[in-house]
Formats: sequence, structure tokens, C-alpha cells
Amino acid sequence: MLAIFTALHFLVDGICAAAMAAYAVQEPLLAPIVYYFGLYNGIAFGTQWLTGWLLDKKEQWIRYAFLFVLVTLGAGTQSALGIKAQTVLLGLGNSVFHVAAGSLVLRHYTTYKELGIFVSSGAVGLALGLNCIVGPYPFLLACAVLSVFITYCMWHADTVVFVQTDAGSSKEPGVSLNLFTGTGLVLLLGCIVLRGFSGGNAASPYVMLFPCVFAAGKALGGIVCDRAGYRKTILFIFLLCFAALQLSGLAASVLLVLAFNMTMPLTLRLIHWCNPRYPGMMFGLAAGCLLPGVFFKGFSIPPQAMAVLQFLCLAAAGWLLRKNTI
Amino acid sequence: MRALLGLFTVVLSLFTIFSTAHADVIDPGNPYRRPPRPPVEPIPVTRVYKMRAPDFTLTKIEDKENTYLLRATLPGPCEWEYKVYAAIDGATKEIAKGGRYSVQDLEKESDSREIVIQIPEGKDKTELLVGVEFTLYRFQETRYGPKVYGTDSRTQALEHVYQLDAVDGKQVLKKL
Repeated sequence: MLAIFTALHFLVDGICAAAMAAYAVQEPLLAPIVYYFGLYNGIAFGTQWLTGWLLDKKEQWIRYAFLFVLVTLGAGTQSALGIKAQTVLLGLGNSVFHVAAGSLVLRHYTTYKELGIFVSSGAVGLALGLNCIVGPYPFLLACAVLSVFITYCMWHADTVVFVQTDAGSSKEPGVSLNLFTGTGLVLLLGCIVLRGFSGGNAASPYVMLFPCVFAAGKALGGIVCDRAGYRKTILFIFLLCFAALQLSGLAASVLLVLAFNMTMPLTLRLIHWCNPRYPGMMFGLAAGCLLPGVFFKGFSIPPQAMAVLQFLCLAAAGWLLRKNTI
Repeated sequence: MRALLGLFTVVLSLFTIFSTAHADVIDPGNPYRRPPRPPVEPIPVTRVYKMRAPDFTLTKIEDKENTYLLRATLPGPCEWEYKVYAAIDGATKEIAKGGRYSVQDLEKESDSREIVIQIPEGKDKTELLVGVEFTLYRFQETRYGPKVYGTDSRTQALEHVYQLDAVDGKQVLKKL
């Protein structure tokens, strides 16, 4: 199932990006392009916590989520509906997919690797769509096949397989809700906000290189964390940042982007631990924290400060949550 | 406690190394060396596409009464407008105007509009001053091609004088 969710993540982000890019190609004015891309990001990232909360409350709705995603994204690619309706449909479909699939992965697996692999594929689909390398329809066709398949499987499978709450969560450390957990959560969300500002400023001449590095970083972060443990991984990321900053040019940028993205599965898993009963909402909260980086393009943090702050946030959050583990 | 102390020691050590290695201060040994920093708020690079010299012509549309075709050769993608003045009773009065026509297509070389000009009553001959103004668009390069960012601050204006005669009940236009 992880493979299907990962492939769907790639396709869903690809459809949305390709449909928005198709609009941008034929729009002569810059201002509406900026506005509708902003609106799309606002809906896609900003509504995930609410969609997640709804799906956490109504777990059975997840069965229909992928068909809903297929319908909204399919309609969203139709330019005849107008860009306003397209933006809303694409944003909504994207939001529901991320939360539904993300919460299933969070519930179903207790390690970091699977989370890293699931979140990694989106960046590549996004880059292929945004740069008009692949149009919306090839993505949509593949997405339709996988969405129907996954809906069929969920419909016929035992509920516990997909919407499991007891077996999986018993393996995860329980964290009592108090000031420590709250502080840990704030630190983790702060870490995601910081990562949003790491951006891809150097990415413009390299259409596919940086998205692939994003993907590799996310997957690698999960794999390393499962093998070496949380503490060693954050130290490794910190040292990797330090090594990258001693280099210059493309190699430094690639290493730095790789290191920053390695933190993604770690933050997601720990945020889920803060409130394991609401995986969808916690996944959505993490996604919402990427919004400041999307909207405030002019603001940037020096990478040295970012490496240190990120390390401190992750170390402090990890320590707080471990201290608070029941 | 020991672990915590150890962690803080590592963090502070690395923090110190970072700040020393990347300090944004002038090196006393080399006062011209400053670490490179990207601009915090990069100003978007925009450009105008000035492709040709602007011009315009005014011609009579034969099968339509009092109707003329104003054909403008565009300097590039721009907004353009026209005004037609006539000398009436010793004063110059505006008798027709139109705009701001928007041409955002980089391939389009000219644009034309049909305009209605009436000779003031009781006059056989009228001098017309036709003025056309062009304001080029400023473009920003994006991954989807050049997109209109706004208009340029400069405006190019052209003026031609025409004479409108009534000959055998028909209007004849001549460029002076």
C-alpha cells in the first residue's frame, strides 16, 4: 500500500501543478498568476488541518476520500470551469489526498522510513507538472487507475487494515498532553516553518535536480533515522549542514537542501506523537507550517543560523517528548 | 544530567565554530573580504520589448459614412489610445477619443480601430489633429514565458495633421 500511496502522492501533486501551469502558460498577466497560485497554496496547505480533523472524526469517510480526490482533481483540470473554480477544486482535492493518505501512513506504520518515502515523491511530481514536462492528463489517467484500485481495496478489506487505531498506536510511544508536549509541538512546527524558508532559490536553472534532492533527502532522513535513531540522525543532519557550508557552489546547495529535507519525516512522526489520536489533523498542521515559506519569499534565514536553529528545535522537541513518554 | 550537559556542550561548540567560520565581519588581515550573502529581497528583473518605431495611419472606410480606420503600428506590446482634435470657431476641440487598448501579444505588430468623425455642421473643410499615445508594457520573465508586470513609466506620443474636405457630398481625407 505504501507504494501506491507514494505513487498517488507523485500523481496528485503532478496533476495540480500541471493544471496550474497550463493556466499560467496562457495567462498574459503576472498578477492573476501570482494570485491564483497563492490561492491554490492557501487552500491546499492551509485547509489540511481542518480536513484532517474531519477525517479523524469521521474515519469511515477515508474510504471515499480517494474517489473524492479523483473527481475534484479531474474537474479541476477542466479549464472550461474557469480558473477560480479550478483553483478551489485542485486545492481541495490536494488537501484531502494529503490528509487521507498521510494519516493512513501515520497510523499504519510506526517507523520513519515509510513516512519519508511517502512524502518524498510529491516534489518530483510537482516539478514535472510545474515545468510543463508532463501535462495533467497522463497524471490524471494514472491517478484514476490507482484511486479506483485503492478505493476497491479499502472497500473490500477489513477496516482495521486501513483505519486502524489500536494495534498500530500501541507500538507508538504514548505522550501525555501537557506543557512539555505543547512546547515540543511548537518547536517541531517552528522547525517546519524554518524549513519552509530554506526554499529552492538556487533551483531555477536546475529544473529537476533540486526536486530530486528534496525527494532523496526526505526518504534518506526516514531510512537513516530508523537505522541510527533519532538523536544520531539529527546530529548527522547538523554535521552534514556544517560540511555543506564549508563547500561552495552547486555541491554546497545540493548537500544543504538534502540535509534540510532529511528532517521532514522526523518532524512529521514526532508531531504525530504529540497527539496520536488525530493523525490527519497533525499531518495538516505540519503542512500548514509550510505556508509562511510559500508566501514570504523575500524573507530568508542565513543557512548557518537555520542549521543551528533546526538542530536546537529538533533536539529540544525530541528531549521533551521522550521525557514525557508514558 | 550528564547527557544534557554533553548535548549543550556540543551545541555551543558547533554554534561557535559556525559563527566564527561564517561571521559577517571584516577580516582584519584582509579588509576587502566579506562572506558572500544573497540579497534578502531580490528586485524582480523586468524589461520592455521595444521592437519597432511606432506609427499610425488614418484612412476612410468607403462603405461606411463618417467612419475611418485608425491603424497603429505598435512599438511592442503596449497600451495605446488616440485623440482627434478639430479647429472649430477658432478653438481646438476634441471630437473623438478612445483607449486604452491593450495589446499583450509579443507577436502582434499592429492594431486598428474604427472611429467615427463628423465634420462640424456648415463646414466644407476641417483640419484634424490626430494624436496617438503608446505606453509599453513591462514584462517579467517567468518559467511560463514573459508575463505583463505593469506599464512602463514612459509614454510615446505621435501626432499627424489631416484635412477633411466635403466634395460632392462625400468626405475626402488628406494627410498634410
